[in-house]
Amino acid sequence: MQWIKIEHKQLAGYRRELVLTETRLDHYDEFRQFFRRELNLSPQDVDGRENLFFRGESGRIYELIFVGKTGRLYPAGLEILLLVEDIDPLPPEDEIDRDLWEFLRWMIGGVGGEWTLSALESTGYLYRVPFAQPPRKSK
Amino acid sequence: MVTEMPSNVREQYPFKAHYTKVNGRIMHYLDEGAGEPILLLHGNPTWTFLYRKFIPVLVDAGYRVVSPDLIGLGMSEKPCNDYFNSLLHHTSNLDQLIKQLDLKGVTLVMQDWAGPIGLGYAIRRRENVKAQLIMSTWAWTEVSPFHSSIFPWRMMHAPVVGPFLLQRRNALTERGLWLSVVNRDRMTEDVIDGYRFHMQSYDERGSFLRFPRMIPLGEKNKENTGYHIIKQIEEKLPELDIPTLLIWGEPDDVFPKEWAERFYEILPRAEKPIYVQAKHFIQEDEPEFISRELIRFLKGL
Repeated sequence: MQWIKIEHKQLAGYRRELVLTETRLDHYDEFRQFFRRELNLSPQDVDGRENLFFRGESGRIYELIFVGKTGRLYPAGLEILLLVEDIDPLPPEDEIDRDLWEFLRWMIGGVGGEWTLSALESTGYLYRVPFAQPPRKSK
Repeated sequence: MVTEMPSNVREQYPFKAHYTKVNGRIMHYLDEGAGEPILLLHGNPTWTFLYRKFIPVLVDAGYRVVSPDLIGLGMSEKPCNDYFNSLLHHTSNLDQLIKQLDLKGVTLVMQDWAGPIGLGYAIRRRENVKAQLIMSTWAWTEVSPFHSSIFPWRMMHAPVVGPFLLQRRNALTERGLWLSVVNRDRMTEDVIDGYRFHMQSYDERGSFLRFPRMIPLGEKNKENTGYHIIKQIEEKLPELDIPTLLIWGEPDDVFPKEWAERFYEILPRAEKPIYVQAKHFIQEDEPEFISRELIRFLKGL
């Protein structure tokens, strides 16, 4: 996963496909705090800051949008959108999910504390995420 | 989105669909048989399909069986927002349905989220509840060991991880159901298809995530979970003098059997719990036994 800069004019000819929505970043508030800290987010962002883009392992580009709501701490939520060229079809779901899994790994690694990569991988493995790593066997 | 029911699901679920509007939303429900009304209430991530094996037995025994799909699940409307899914919404929806159908002296059958929803109805409409069957659920703010654990429960519905696993990967339907039964050979592809067909897209699966996030987290985030509403139910349980049957899975790892004992101690008219070899989706493990026990219990009142 790699952060990239994109000029607005470069987006012409692409459409945005919503692939993940999170409306409650504060359900466990350490997640909201992580994004705020890691990406230098501020409530003023909703009034003009440019959006963030990252390239997944597949080479595909995603836009990351943070959502603000009155009465809630910022950011209240986030949206991840896949940029798809012209009228091309969406790629296979597993290809998108592999990129999102890397995003989750980056996020959990940063949230830290009791939220461990090992717990993420084990949970993904239990629920048959094909690219999640099996739990390490204790010797 | 409404899609035609696949033939392998229809064969298992040969019931007539009924629809009504409750609080402005379209609710699907079943209404089979004639006699004293029994309400079969489901939780997450299921729908009335969960009770498909109960219905013919109860109808044959002379009961009217009404079973609604919660708004957001099954064949009911699935709004794409978070503002329809509190416990108060669901309890109000149930109250509306009971009023519309003019059901008197109902028996409530509850498991999972149907517990707080149905008990929320019972504490408000005590005079209209004849009896209740409680299975694998809870009605207090204390968090179960399963719901406290990071792996797998809290990680599964954590911010951003939750939409990925529960909506994109459909983890509860594809794996969670199978993990939470004892008789796994019964969870065939045809059965899983029954839980899949009406929740085919990311947006349709939103409630798979909304329900876990309503479970109280102890002292944390009280305002955004069901904490206050469940607390209200918890405080009124000792006054709930409704004849109560408790059937629980001995190896239930979501709501441990000690919680059946807790209901028995709190509820003034509860029978001693009956334990079976079942896990959380007890209706899949022991449908015939539970149906027979419910009939025995009701005939004895």
